Amino acid sequence: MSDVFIFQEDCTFEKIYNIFNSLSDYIKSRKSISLDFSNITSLDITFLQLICSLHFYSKNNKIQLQKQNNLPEAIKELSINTGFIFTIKNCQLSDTCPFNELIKGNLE
Amino acid sequence: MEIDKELLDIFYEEVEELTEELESSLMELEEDNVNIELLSKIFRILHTIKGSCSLVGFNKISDFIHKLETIFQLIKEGKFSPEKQFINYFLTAVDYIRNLVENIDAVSQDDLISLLEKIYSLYGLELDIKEDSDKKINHKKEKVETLKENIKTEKFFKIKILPNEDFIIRGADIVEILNSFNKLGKAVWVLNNEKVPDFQQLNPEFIYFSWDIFLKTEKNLDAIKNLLIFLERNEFEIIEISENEFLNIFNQLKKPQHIEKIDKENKEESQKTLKKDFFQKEAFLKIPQHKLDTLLDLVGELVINQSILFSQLKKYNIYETIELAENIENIITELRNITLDIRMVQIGNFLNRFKRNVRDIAAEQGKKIDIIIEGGETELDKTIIDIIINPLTHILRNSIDHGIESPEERIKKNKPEKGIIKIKAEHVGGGIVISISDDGRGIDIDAVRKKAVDMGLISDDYSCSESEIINLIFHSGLSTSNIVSEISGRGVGMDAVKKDIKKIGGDISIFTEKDKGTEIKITLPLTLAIIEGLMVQVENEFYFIPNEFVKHCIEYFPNVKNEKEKGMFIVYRDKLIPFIRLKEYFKIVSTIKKIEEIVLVEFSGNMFGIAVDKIIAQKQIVIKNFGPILSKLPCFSGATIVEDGTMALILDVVALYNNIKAKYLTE
Repeated sequence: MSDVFIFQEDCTFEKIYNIFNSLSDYIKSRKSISLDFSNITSLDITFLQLICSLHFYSKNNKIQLQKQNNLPEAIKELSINTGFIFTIKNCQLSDTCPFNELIKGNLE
Repeated sequence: MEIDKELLDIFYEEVEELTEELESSLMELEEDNVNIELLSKIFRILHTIKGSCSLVGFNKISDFIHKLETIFQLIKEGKFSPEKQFINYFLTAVDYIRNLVENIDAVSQDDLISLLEKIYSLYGLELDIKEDSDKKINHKKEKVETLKENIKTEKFFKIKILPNEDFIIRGADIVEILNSFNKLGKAVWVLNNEKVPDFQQLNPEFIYFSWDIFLKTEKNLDAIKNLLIFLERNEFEIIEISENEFLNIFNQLKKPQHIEKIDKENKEESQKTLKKDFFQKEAFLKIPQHKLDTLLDLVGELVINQSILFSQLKKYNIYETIELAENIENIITELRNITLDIRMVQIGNFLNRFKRNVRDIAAEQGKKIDIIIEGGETELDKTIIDIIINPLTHILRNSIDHGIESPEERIKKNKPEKGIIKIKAEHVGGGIVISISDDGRGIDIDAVRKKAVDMGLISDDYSCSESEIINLIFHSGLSTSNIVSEISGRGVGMDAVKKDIKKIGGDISIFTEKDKGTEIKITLPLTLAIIEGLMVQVENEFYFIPNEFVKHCIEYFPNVKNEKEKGMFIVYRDKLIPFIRLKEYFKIVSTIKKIEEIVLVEFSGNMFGIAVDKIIAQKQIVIKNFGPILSKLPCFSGATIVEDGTMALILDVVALYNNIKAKYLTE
């Protein structure tokens, strides 16, 4: 089994359950999670939510969450459009949203 | 209020253009009544006309437009839909505006109010009139103004989007919903993820996110609710907040640096583009037409005088200055071309006005017609365009009235219910051809023939081609229409159409096929100011024959005896063509030369020859129109000055043919 979980092109609602199941298998008894988003060409809000949830899981279980390779444009675009990369005082978003960290790390 | 005449001229010109644009935009709206850009465009035009009217003191018009604006604003906001009847009334309003600009008393205040009431009542709104000295339009009960005021006032909202878990399963698109708020005003939103569970408790098809949208808008609550129609009632909450609350949150929100950087770069880039566009865009000046006419006239004089000067320098062998004169000639030629070019305008601007005519007349007759305009970018001298507007209008009316069948008749003939009228303009040779075609019933050739026989134009047994029969349509009084309608069918139109076209050196021809349609082709010169043709000489007189009529030139050895016995004919391509001798016709005292030149001219299928002593050259000349005293001279359409300063008369070939055909040609 590869150490990196590579997402395929289509990460939309239609595929989200399969992705969830595969990811569930992948994270079982892992101390670090490495994700590669670079192949993704289409996604929707369910995918962002999935990663957000994974981020909570990694925090709660003290598992390291990492990304491999660059984030594709599709993720950046959806993150901007849905308000992921805006921050607001007293909002948990900046601390808790993995994309905020991932995107910031990637884009700045 | 005293208005500068020049300002008024600009105002009239501007309103004419704007009303045309308004009219065509309204007709576009008829086809696409949810086009936001189009609605905004119409609103902008209305607003500009209102401003211009106000500026020149036409308050009656600006008040009227103000009321139109009010209702249109509501349509723009999506509160009402612009239905067909609304467009009809609005087009009438455009006519009123046009008429009022021409003559402020052309439409009574009562008519204006009546139309406004009709428009308002379409949407269940009431327009109450308060009579005062100016008889201004006021609302009493109607809340439209108040509504408009409310709409115009900025408001601040916090909209909470709290999707149910099945939000995505229902097919709702959150990105679409969020972005739609930008259409209402300034919007920012914050995503809340605190309800997202740990991965092990996650149902990936459910939605746990929620959003807070902060909106600054001039729109009302209903406009916001309209954006949320795909949400369940428990999935959103709209709270009006204060400006301070909005600003606090708005200022706290900050974009990550990289976004700010991208925004900054985009802004700088767009500013650069704007600057570039500004400098690259050509500036336009509006110039009264009479000033251009004077300029062209003076340039024409310059061309003539330059020619005279040049021939004098050659005559007296002053070679030292010839080179200088040649340089001046080149500059003058360029100046003349530019001056002519200034007068050229795109014909599309004028053809578009026919869309309204076709629409209205078709509606009156219960016909369904699409009008297609092609080659609108073709340029033509403004003077020619002004002259052909009436003939084109008449031809179009004929097409609608007699050409295109009723929807029922078309269906019976297996044709589409909707007829098509196509106007096409294109450059052909040195001129322009405008063709007006329809897919209607075509011209009934037998009926034209019968009518011509009844009128005594031809005898019952007269043998002629279909094209000759069709051309009889241009005869005064001949119409085959059974019903003399208000639109056409009186038989006076096509005669006048032809005269107008011929007057400017053009030609008209008709092609028709039963149940397939009719095509009318109008050939026009590019400009009226300069024409090309043959300069010919008869004794010491010079004449000019425009190129569009010249078919061929033949050397001729006169045989007077033969001419007297057999008539004045020459053989051209196995056909006998009649001719006249210009010196005989104009009674110029002279003997007949041993060798003459015959210029064969042709128009609308009629060919005849003009015998002259000599063909000087093919030339481009500047036309000098006759003044009022000489304007009735038969057979001449103007004059020009030749190099040695003498005058050459321009032959009006059509008039010449009409004058001589009875006396010379039929004999």
